[in-house]
Order: sequence, then C-alpha cells, then structure tokens
Amino acid sequence: MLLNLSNMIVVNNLVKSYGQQTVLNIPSLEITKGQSVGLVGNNGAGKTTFFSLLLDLIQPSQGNISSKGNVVNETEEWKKYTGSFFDDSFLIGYLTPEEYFYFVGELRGMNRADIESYLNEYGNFFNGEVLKQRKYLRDFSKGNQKKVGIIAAFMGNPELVVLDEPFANLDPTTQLRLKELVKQKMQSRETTIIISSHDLQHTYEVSDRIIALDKGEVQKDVMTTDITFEALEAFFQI
Amino acid sequence: MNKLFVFLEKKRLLRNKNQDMNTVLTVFKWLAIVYFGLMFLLLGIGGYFSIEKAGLGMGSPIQVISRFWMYYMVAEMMMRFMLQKLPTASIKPLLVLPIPKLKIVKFYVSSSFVSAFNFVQLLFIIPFTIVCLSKGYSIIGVLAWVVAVYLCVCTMHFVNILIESYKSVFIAVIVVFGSLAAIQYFNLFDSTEYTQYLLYSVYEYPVLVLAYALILAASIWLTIRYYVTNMYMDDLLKTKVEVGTTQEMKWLDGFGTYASFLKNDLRLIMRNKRARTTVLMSILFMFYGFLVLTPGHNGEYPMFMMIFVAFFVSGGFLMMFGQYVPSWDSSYYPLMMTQNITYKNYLKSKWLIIALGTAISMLGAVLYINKSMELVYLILAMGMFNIGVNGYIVLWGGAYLKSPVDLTANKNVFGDKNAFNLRVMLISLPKLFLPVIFYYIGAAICGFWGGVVTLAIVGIIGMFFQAPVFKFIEKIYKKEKYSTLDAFKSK
Repeated sequence: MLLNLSNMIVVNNLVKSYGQQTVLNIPSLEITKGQSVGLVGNNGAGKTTFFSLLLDLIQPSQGNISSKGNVVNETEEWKKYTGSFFDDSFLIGYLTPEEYFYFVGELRGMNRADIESYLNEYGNFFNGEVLKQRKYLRDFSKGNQKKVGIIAAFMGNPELVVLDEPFANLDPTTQLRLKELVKQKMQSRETTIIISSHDLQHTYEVSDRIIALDKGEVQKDVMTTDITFEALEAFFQI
Repeated sequence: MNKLFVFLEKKRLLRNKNQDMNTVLTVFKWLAIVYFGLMFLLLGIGGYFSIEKAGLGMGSPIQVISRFWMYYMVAEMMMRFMLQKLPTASIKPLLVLPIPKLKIVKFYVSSSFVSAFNFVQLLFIIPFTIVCLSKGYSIIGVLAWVVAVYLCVCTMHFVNILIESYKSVFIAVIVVFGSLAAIQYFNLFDSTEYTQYLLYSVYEYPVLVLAYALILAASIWLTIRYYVTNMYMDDLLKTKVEVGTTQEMKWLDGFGTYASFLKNDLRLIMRNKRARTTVLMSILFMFYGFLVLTPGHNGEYPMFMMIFVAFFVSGGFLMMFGQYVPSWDSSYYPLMMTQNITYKNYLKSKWLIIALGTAISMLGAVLYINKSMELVYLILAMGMFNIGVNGYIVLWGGAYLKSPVDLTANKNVFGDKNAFNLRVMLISLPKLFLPVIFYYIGAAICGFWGGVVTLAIVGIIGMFFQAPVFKFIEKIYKKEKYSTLDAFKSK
C-alpha cells in the first residue's frame, strides 16, 4: 500500500473557515480507489463541510480536493463519475420516483431499458413503498425519500459515491439492506464509497477505513481490520 | 404576548437574506408611496373644485365620486392584487408553544393591515372632507359618507387576502369585475347610474354606514376564521397528497440532451401551483392589448402604447417564468450542481424553455389581426427580440437574483402566495427599455418599418451569438454559484 498511484481522492492543505473560525483543516488525506470510507464524528465535526467541499458546493478557503486528478473547483469532470445524496435538496419534489430515476439515469448515460432493469434489481430495497405509488416525491416520508436518493446515487455505476448520513431516518430493515448494498459494492472494488455517520456500529460494519473528525481535524484514521469495534467506541468516550 | 410577535417579526425582516435586493425594493416602494400620497393629497384638496368646474351635470362632487367609486374600487383591487404583499409567517414553531391560535392569527392579520395600501387614501379623504364641510354640506352626511368610503378601502384589504384563500371569493370578484367590464365594453347601459346609490345613499341616510361596517366586520371574521381553521400542521405542510402519474413526454425526446430538462420544466409548471399561476398570468398578458389600447382621436393607436403591448404580449412568459430562472430550481439546486450536467448545458436548456415559451406567446399576435396589423408585426418583431436578446438578459439577471422560490409555498396558508409583485416589475424594467430604444433608433431612420425590422434583426443576430454569450453567462454563474447555493438554502 506504500506506493499506491490509484488514488481516488487527494486532499491537499484543505482549510475552510468562516471569518476567524476554522471549521475544517485537513493538511493531507488520500483515499484509494475502491475503498469504502466511513467518516465519523460528533455534531459540528466538519463531516458535511468536507462533503460539500468534495462536491464543490462550497469554496475552500485554502487548498483543494482533487478527484481522480481533477481539482473539483476547477473543472466539472468529476460530475461524470460521482453519485451523491445528502438530503432532500438532492430530490426534485414534484416528480414521481420513477421520473426522478429516469432523469438521473439519463444524465448518467443510461437508457430506458438500463434504468428499468436497474430499478428491478433494487426493487426490494424499497420494500414496495416507493415505486408505482402514484405520489410525488414531496409527499413521501423522509425515510422513503432517502431510499430514493440513495438508490439514485448509485445509478450508472459511478466510480465515487458520497452519502451524508444515509443511515439516519431509515427503518431497521432498510438499514440492513443498505449495509448489504454497500458491502456488495465493496466486493467489486470498483466504487469508492464515502459515508458519513453518527452511528459507529453501522459505519464500522461497512467500511474498510474509518476516519474520525473532531472540530474540523482528522483525529483518527484507521483500517477496520486493524481496530476492534470496542477500541473505536472507546475513542468517542469522554 | 404581542411584544413577542413584534420581536419575531422584526428579527425575521432584519435577518432575511438578500438584503441588497430588499433595499432597492424599499427605495422604490417609498418612491411609489410618496408619489401616490401626493396624488391623493392633491386630489383631496383640489378634487372638489375641479369636479365642480368640469360641470358633469351629475350633481354635487359627492355624487360624482359616488358614481365613479365602483371604478376606483376595481382599480385599487387590481393594484392590491398585483402589488400588495400578504401576511407571511413561519408559524410551525409557534404551534406547539402555549399561545392560543386565535392570538397568533389576530396578530398576523392585524399586522398585515399596517400597509401603505390602507392609509394612503386618507390623504385624499381628510382634505376632501374638510373642503366639503366648509362648503356647507350636511355634517353628519359627509362624515358618514367618508367613513363609508374608508370602510370600503379597509374591506378591500381583507377581500384581497380572501381572494387568495377562498376560490369562491376569487370567482365572485372576477364575476363582478367581468360583468362591469362587459357592460362598459358593449355600452349596454350606464351602470354607474345605479351603482352610485350604493355609496351616495349613505350621505342621505347616514345610518347606512352601519351596513358598510358590517361588511368589513364580516370580511375580517372570514379572514380570521380561515386562518384559524387552517392552522394545523397538515394544512401548513401539505393540504392534500396529489395523485401523481408518471408522464413520459416522449414527444420531447427530439431535443436530445435538453429533453430531460424540458420535461422537468414542463412538470414543474404543471405540478406546482406557483409555477402554474405564473404561466396563467403570462397567458393573460396576451390579452393585455385589449385592456390598455384605446384609439386616439385619429382612430389610430398611440405608437408608444403599441410597443408596450407588443412587449407584454410576447414577453409575458419571459417576464413571469424566465425571470425566476434559476430560482425555480432553488429547492434542489445542490442536485443540479452535482449531477452529470455541465453548467453550460443547464443554462442552455433554461434558455430553450424561455425561447419556446416566448415563441408560443408570439402566437398571441393572432388576437390582434382585427385591431391593427401594425401591432401584429410589432409583436412578432418584439418576440424575436425577446428570444434573441432578452432571453439572455433574463438568464444573466437570474445569476444575481438569488431569491429562492418555495414551490410548496402555495400550500401554506401563511406562505408567500404572490406570483406577481413589485419585485418582478422592477427587474423587468431593463428588458422593457432595451427594445423601446432599439425600436426608436430604427424608427428614426426608416419610420415604422425601420423600427420593426431593427427589432427583428437585432433579435436574430442575438440568436446567432449564442456561443460567446453563453460563455459569458456561464462565467458569471460559476462565480455566483456558491453564494447562490447559500442563498437558496434559506427558505
């Protein structure tokens, strides 16, 4: 692992501050292609800030992030292979779930048939509560909206998937299914997945690597094979 | 308790994002208030004498005003409908606090009353009363009459709120206005002959003022009742779950890459009341000419008015819908910024829908074939100008507008329901000035046809300059991206 040239994400002297207050400061961080990374931390640790920077939704105060060699705030190349879901601002409320999937799928270069077979494949993830409901997304519950967003983020086999708090608001059945989905993607080693969560247990289960943020700085960066869950938990006990 | 509400209101206004735009708006608002205030004041002082001087043969000035009061009400109602802001509040956090609902509603309804629309009329009423009294009219009669006049003004405030809340009130107002207009248009009979007694009888029988008070009380009661009965979370968040059907819209696939965006924009228009209203308004704009065009004494229409009409007929959609690009996408802007779309294609698809909407609006020219062929040519030329030049300007301006459109707002009883307001008017102005200037440049050289051809040619040239223009607009959008994302976050 010493000389790994296939880095998906390279963080370079990244600082984000609002006025005097620095909310994120990561001098360097590399995420290997195909790795599944869990980003954990308490409220205000900087998880969402990091994700927003990664997707060029906010501007870094210093430094940059490059994704497959593309500096994200300089080119739009990364959009071609990145799937993401944060919250309902990633959903179009007045579409039915099907229309939403067609929209996202078409943007990712899938055709009708691709999209339909993709939805068939993941039909059980929805537990029969999403497709063919004759409802617009805005009228679905938060949990079901989230399911739509997560499944859409994986459309078109993106090389990078970024999910912010995917486990929150999900019912227990879907949490299990989401873990299955991520594990399945992990096995193929083609998709780099970055997931943020408050939930140590879930994150530990589906990640190769855990990065713990605290007050905007990386406090711990370990491979799950090198640390037991108890040891990880102990880290968060004050 | 009220102190708490006032505190909340103050904070809401002060901490509102988009301060710059608000400052500009406030300046214009006060200019308008001062202007109308002066007008009313002048009318109040001089009105009596000029009516007397005109010698209309309709009796005393009080009678004359009573006679035309209906028309004034119609005009004020339209002004209110278009420009007055209705009470808005984020009520959700208050619902669970130990405050009686009635109290919340009463506060917001009464605070909505504090608006220039309800007080500027006093500048007319008070001097006019003084003049009348000094002329020796019956004191009680005059006082009852002016109170009735002011009660009408107050009633209109609540009717304006009710229009948005109850469909039946809306329809009733439309029917009354429509029949008045029809009577007038077809010259059936002079309706003012009869309606004058509605107000004038108050002067003769002062007791009747109570009837006006009663109407006002009823409208207040209805307004309060509407808000109280609708103050539940369900109503605030969503009135009803609509049946959604997946629409494929395959006929749009011909537009290639832009097809999926066009489909979404069409769905946006069909499925959101706010967007639907704006499109309906733009259809109404097609008939604008019938409202304002009156032939001059030589039987021809004044040129300036024709240009105006041509702009509104062909540019209704541009103004009502295009103006709010990209704000329509505000609730899911992060999605648009992270999907596999380049900024350029996103903007182009937006331009395309504006161009298509404008092209359809140009068909409105057909309505005017019987009125004036010159106007028809003007509308077509103006349409080309709107597509080729104003389409870009709208997009350019959109980069700076940054006011989120809350698509669900219409479902919220306290939400911002106005689709058309002062803000839209203001940012439309540059788009109106440009074609006027180009027309007159052309007209100075070659008369009417010079103007029309100049407009059309400038429009067509504009269409050919897509690539560099989009490069420029894209640059601005990229620069504004982060602050736009930030502004759209605050609903």
